[in-house]
Amino acid sequence: MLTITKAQMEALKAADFRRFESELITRLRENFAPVIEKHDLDDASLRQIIRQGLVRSETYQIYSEYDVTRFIEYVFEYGNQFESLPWAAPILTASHLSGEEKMDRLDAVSAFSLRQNEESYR
Amino acid sequence: MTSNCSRPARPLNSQAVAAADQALYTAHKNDPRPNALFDAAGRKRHLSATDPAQECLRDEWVRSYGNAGGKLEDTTFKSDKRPGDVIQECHCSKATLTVTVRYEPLDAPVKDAAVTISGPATKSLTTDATGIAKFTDLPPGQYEITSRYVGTNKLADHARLQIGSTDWARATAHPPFPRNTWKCNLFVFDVTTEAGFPVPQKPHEQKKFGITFGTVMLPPNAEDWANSSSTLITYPTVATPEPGDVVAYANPAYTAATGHVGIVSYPKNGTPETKTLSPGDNGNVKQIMRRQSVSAGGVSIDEDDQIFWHYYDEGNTVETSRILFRRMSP
Repeated sequence: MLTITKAQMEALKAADFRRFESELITRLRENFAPVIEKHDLDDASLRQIIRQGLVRSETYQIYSEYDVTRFIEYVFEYGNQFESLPWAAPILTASHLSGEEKMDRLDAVSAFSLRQNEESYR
Repeated sequence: MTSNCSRPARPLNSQAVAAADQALYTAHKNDPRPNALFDAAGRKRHLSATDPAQECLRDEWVRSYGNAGGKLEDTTFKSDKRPGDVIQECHCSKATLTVTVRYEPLDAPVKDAAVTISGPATKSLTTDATGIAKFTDLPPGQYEITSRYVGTNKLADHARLQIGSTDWARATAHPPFPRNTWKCNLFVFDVTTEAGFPVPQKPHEQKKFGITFGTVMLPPNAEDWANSSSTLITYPTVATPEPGDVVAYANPAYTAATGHVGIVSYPKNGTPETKTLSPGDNGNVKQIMRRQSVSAGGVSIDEDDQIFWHYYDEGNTVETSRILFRRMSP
């Protein structure tokens, strides 16, 4: 059973969870249309993925709306196994980083190091 | 952090990524190497995802990504705001660099030295009276610092025009000086007069076989120039020379001359240095400019950094006490 934790609810209460969910669905449909079409995901499926993402992100101390959004986008970009990918797992589990710092680090690595490593194998 | 103010929206636009890469490496292809983007041999290095010193390079990449059509999001919102706003400007943590230019020997600030820094940004400034050029708002990274003197002085220019000339050579007759005489004082007399700084002459008895057969007017010799009590030369003495001053050295032990005299020339360029600046750094670099003079040697008019100056390098206070500088122009 999915549980939205108190910490997340605290972070999201001002913004209204339903509103957040709806706007994120719109955002995902705009930015990840090929993935959504490929897997034939309807709104209900997307809500399910978002709620799963909320729960998973909470385990990494990722609470804010912005950081949760980024986390869920990575799930869409790299798949359900994103959390265990060799470049992502050490960052997500780093105890010295805050949730925001983890997402900032993932942004940087995916924009520079990861992409460049992929290029070097071309 | 990708950038401190904007984030490429996911998924990344591969065409914009390629364009941003090209723009970044092209913009920095002439930066001093090795640096964050190129090794010493010019091979590309990957931009670091985490090195704080490369924050501005990452921002530059993100700007290029946006310019190439990649979608950027505002990251200035945090917990209580939503992503998605498009932004235009990024501001990474900049650095400052203070370059101090000093003369050597006879340490003093060099005014009017053009200091150029090249690296993530290329800028030039001219030093003030304290010999300082301060560069602000610099993207972090490695810089090469060079300096050259750009001040002008009429007398120094006149003297330097004659570099290489043999008109004042020891073996050459240059009236009223016959051949096989040292003519450093004649050279100084000629160029100071041409530059508009008149110097009085003094009578000199012409003798042969102990018999005086005439009197000629001759320019002051090195000893006259080096004599601070001279009533012949009234141009003021100074302790710290500048280009365009007369520099004179008197040595009573000399037999064929009374010493040597020349014109203080422009200093040599500073030795290029490199400095790596991290975000927020207030870096300092010192540039040394070697003093030079122009004078008549045995063969030609030469500009060098040894005659007169080597005594200061050696700390030879006996000899340096025999050197005097006179300021011709105010």
